[in-house]
Amino acid sequence: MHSAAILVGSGVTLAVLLLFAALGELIAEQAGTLNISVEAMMLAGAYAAGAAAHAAGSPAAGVPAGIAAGAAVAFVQANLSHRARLDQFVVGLVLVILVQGVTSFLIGTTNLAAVPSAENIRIPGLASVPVVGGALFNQPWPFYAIYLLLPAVGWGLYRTRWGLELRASGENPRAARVSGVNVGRRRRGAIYLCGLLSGYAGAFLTIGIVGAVSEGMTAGSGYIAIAAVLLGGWSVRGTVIACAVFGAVQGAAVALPSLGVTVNSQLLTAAPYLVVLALTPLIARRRSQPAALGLPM
Amino acid sequence: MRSQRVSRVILSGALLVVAVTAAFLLSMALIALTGGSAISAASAMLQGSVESTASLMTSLQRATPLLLVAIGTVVAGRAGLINVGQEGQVLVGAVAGTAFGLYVLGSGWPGQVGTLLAAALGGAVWAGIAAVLRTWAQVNETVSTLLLNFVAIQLVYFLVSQRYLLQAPPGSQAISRSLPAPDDLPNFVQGTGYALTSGFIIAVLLALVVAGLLKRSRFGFDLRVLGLNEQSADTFGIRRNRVLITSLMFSGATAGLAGGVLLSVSPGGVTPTSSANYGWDGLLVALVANYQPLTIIPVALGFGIIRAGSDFVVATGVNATIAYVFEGLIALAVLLPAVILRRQVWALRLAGVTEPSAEAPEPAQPAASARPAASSGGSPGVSIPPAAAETSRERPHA
Repeated sequence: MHSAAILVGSGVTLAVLLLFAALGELIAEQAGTLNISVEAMMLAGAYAAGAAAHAAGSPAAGVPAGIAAGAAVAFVQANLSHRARLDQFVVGLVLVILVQGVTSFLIGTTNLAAVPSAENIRIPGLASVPVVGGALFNQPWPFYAIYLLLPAVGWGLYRTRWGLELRASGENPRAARVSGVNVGRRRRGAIYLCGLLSGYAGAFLTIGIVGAVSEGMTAGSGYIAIAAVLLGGWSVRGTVIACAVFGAVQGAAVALPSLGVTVNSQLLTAAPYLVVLALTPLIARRRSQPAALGLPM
Repeated sequence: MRSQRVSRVILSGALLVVAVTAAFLLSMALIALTGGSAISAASAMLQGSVESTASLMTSLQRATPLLLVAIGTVVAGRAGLINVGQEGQVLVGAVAGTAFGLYVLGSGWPGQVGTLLAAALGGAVWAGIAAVLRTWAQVNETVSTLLLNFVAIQLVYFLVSQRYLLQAPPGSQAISRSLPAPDDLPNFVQGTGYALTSGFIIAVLLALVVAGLLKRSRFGFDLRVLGLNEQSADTFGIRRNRVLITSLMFSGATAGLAGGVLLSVSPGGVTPTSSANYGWDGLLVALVANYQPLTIIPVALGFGIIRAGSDFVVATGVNATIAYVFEGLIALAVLLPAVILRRQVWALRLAGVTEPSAEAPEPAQPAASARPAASSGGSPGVSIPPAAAETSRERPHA
């Protein structure tokens, strides 16, 4: 295969993986929650999808299981941080540690080294477009949800009453409450959506990319998704671009050795984090972040 | 009012015991569900952590890095900084200490002290990156310290996989050469079959000193003012940036020191996973202790007991990662009593409330932000904001 196509292929797949989680995180952050537990949601989703696909012998069973696991984590996060009013950050961190522990433990007791993975679906015609065709239109079937999801999130956040209330809850919760918005409910709802999407991302990772379950397999993807939202300036378009950048860098790390190019692999692995760190001063200056991000009601 | 407070303390203590017991039972249930023997795992846990002097010493040993990490976390937290980069700071500390021991001075007590200081310096510098980003460019330290963790892993990976830097001789693995004198901290307690290195004593003393300084010193005052309100810090003439940088770097230094202490506990070279979650768990200790400098000592001991016990559980054929399950559940368990107590206050409030509005889960939060309409009424029936109800029942009559 053409070397450019290999690079683009692995880049796009990883970018879309990040994007599923990052769109969820974007919704949660728009409503005012800096949702650290997105990493836990992804990991839970990845494990549950693998276990379910293995048990059922079919990758299709993995998707609902992954979504359900993400939602379960979201349930704890949402209710402890926006009903019981514990510090959202503390709750998120505890959930990450707990889910890492539970999944590692369960992986140690069951053999999920190979789980059924989703088959590629090739869209005729479009997939033959040079360079990008294969990357965008010849992918495992869970991939294609992104084409529906992307416009749906944009529409929901910016063109509906619900989206307006949600963003108001993240921007000025007191004003929102005075105007009759149930801030707690909007914030919890946003976290639930984040759980669904991140759980889906985890399922996509297991049955669409890796085809196996291993300890700590998300390896910080959730945190990169958070970084993508920050870097993208809390907009859908910016988040897509940031995910594309991270996906390209990670894809390069995967694909370059097979192309015979030697770049220091530690540098490549660290690259997404270094890019964000280098850009954070610019983001901080732009001040486009939801004003009440991370603050309790 | 006093008896009310006492009963609250008793209630929260009882709730804590119930919650921790529930966490323990849940962990054991998980072991049983996955085909292990919960009973033998539980007895192994006790055997490995508290049953004998030797196992108690192991628990203290495990608690030492956790306590060190938590001390710094508390200091940064008092200044309003949320440092979540401990895991990376521990790792950088461990590698900095190793580099010092290998290239500068590895033996004798100057070598030991130098190794620890180099480790602390390494952690401080690593946290310093976030401190500089925060003061120069207003970059949120939570985000930057989080990201630096991942950079630290790759940095250490690089350092210990290059022969000309720190890599151990037999070739291809990512592990550093070990220090010339591996068991480099002098023992504080030593008996047949057990020993406790002085690292634990250093950690406890440091915790006590920091608690005293936070409470009594000018710097502690500056920290608290800054943490409570940045504007009033300016009014007090506090040099904001200096306090921010100092406290965040101090936090990095204690985490780095924890990495240095780890070198003596587990000799045999640094790897990219040498920090072994000590950073995250130390952060958890500080959070569970609600950033109280004295409370972190017992909490760190508790987590040390869990770690030591879980290491022993492995012998019964149960995966060692049960420790992380248990720690996560414990942390959740410790958070829950606060929720239940708050509910109790709501219940009190609702019982005396006449206003029907109460979509109860969202009461106005800060007690001080007066609710004039309600409190000026002064009748016994008015609602009491939750925080006020906790501290003084007389106040609404003002």
